[in-house]
Amino acid sequence: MKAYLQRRILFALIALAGVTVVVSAMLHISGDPVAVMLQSGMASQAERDALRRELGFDKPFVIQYLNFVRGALRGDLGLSLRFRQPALTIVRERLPATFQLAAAAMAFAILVAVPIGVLSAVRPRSLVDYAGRLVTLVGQSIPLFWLGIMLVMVFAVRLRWLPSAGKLDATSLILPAVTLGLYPMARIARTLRASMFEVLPHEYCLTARSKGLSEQLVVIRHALPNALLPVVTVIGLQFGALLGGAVVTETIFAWPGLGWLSVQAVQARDFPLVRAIVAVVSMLLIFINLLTDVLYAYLNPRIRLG
Amino acid sequence: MRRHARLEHSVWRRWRLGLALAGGLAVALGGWTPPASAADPLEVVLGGEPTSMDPSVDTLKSSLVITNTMLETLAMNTPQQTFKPWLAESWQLVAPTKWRLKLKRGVKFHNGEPFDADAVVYSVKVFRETKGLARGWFGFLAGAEKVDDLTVDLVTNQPSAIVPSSLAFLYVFPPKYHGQVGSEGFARKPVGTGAWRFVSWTPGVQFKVEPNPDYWGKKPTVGEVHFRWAAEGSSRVALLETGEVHLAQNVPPALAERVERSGTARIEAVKSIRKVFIQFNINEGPTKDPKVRRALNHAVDVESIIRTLFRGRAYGRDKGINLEGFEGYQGAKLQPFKYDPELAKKLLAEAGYPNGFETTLWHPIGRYMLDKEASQAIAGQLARVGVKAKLEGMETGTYFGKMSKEKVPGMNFFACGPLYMNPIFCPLVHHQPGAAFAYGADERTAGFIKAYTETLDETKRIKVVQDFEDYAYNEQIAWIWLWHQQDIYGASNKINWKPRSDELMTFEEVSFK
Repeated sequence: MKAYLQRRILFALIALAGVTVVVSAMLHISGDPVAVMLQSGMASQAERDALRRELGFDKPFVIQYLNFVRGALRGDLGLSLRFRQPALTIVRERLPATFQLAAAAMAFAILVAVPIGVLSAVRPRSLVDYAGRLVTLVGQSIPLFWLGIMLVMVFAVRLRWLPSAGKLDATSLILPAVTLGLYPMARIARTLRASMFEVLPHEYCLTARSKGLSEQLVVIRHALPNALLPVVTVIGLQFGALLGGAVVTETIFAWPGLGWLSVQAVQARDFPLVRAIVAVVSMLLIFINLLTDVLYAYLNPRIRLG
Repeated sequence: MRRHARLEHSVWRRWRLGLALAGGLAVALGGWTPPASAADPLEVVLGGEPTSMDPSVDTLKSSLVITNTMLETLAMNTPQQTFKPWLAESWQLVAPTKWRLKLKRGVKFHNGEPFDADAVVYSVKVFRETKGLARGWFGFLAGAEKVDDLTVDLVTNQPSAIVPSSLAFLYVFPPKYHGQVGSEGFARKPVGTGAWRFVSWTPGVQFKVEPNPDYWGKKPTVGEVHFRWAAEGSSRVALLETGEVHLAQNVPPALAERVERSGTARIEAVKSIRKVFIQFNINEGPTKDPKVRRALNHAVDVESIIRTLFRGRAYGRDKGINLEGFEGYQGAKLQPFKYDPELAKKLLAEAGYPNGFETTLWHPIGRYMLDKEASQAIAGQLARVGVKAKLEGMETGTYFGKMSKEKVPGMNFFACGPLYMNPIFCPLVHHQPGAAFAYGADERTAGFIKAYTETLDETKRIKVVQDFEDYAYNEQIAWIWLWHQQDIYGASNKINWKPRSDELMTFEEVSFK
């Protein structure tokens, strides 16, 4: 286990270095941050060059990247160009909101998906199954922005039950969480349904039935825990996707997370901020993947990490 | 049996959890009531969140809307596109490169620091040395010198007629506080002399200001102002419709009708100061010939683009360089280019292009209203006179980088919205050799700009600016003149509010009905 963890951490560091190199290089070739900053055109060429020098953008790419790494090792990811504040501080301020939204979306997804997955597997081709499959089909194919806007139209503008955007009170979380949670809900429900089908005909379920246990007990006690194993992996992957991919939802609901911030940072060529966001989010993803694998091994005695 | 009992227990536990969640949800739902009554603060939603409250760092208009409630400038732009004395009560030239400013007496910063000559000297230094977006804006200033507590001299590198109008962007910082916390600290907790003072800023969520009880000027009628941000236009409209906000910045034209039909809010639209045009590369290719440039002006049907693409929400056809309210504005004296494809073809033939030519139209995507769609429409119209313009659309950051670094061939889509109410503002960016986007720069424009900035006599200066405009518009023709944008705001029916043309929102005049 220890060797396994060491290896995973080493891989994580390599991945992190790779991601930051790629992102830095992509930003570097995509444009000059000073040109974007001074787009009002008021600054003379001399002023532009001076600012470029002061910000260190006159140096070759490799030197710029090495400077970033040197700082990063000391926990300093540089000053954001646009904010003139430490990039890490800004990321730290926004991360909780993104995390909160992802967690709420995942909670919604699991709470809805598990009953759908189980019921449609237990009663295949029943009305419940068809309804469940329809919901999951819709959940996987509906465009996020459309769903978000529709939910706002219905629950905020028409019914006035919920706030339409922002994060001023606790109820602000509901609409974005549902919007964001619909897709993972569908994924989880479908995975669970398929996995239940696989598990239900197994001998241990037959044994349980032959012991005279009710079907309900067989399903909940014996089938579900085993069927949930692949779901754990799906949840882990989906949670990672939620952290990195909430841009659309955060934009529609003006949610103060990393999503919209990262779009703006890229548009402004705010290199230090983009790098900080990417580094922090990649680290989280790597950690979540690791956690999923460890959890999977723990839950499934047939898997041994090593 | 025992197992059975445990299971039942766990099932019950789940039910309990579910009920608790549902109950919590119900309580939370019940707890939310939409705001809006006369005693409430003014709620405003903007298109983007500021990065800093230091106006030398963040100069975006949606940021300045907030900054301007707390910080003040030496001169003040008016809704009539002129400017008037503000924290500086008067200015006069005492030497060719020296403007003497008399400062308002008895003004204090929110933290008690006095507003005086030291504050102005300090602020000029901040703007000169900033690493933010205002870098280079005061490049013509060599520095500021204190004469006495309420008198300060602005020293320029060359004689400069720009100084008075530029005072409307010279924000004043409290030297002690700003020196102590630096731009980094000031960014999050600004202190100014303005009608409101800082209360709180929760990043991404909300910004609050409250009335400054010691304000030197006319006290605003509304109390606290709360700002929030939504990048998505439909979200801003939804916030307005539900009554969660009273004012929404930048309503997308397609949603304007929805706001009008809502019954709770209305549209307030205004002709923007922002001029939209297409620049030619006047130094190479077919666009080198002024006759070709004239021809292409006649080939574009601006009115039909405004009618169809903008649904009437733009103002055309634009003409000239100067803007209404600015010194030397010539108004109706300039004739707009008429849409006349036959004339365009004739001029092209005279220039030696009877069958047109191939060129490129560069444009940003998403920087200006409908920039991509408008470029497509224009390319289509040019094709009708035989000019095949290849479209090169780019994301904003890439676009400005490319346009400033290279001088791209063909044509490029641009806009200029002056920050100072001065006729030379746009030429300094577009007609001054060496400037970032100086596609229209030649020897004569350089001469006019130099003459304008160095002519301190107003009557003579006005003559210069008018001669310059006559040249740039009628002879040189460095642009295809298009339109002025329309700025569209949504306002709740509960408030009285009027928009301004300079993309800024002010709240001094707001009142609840």
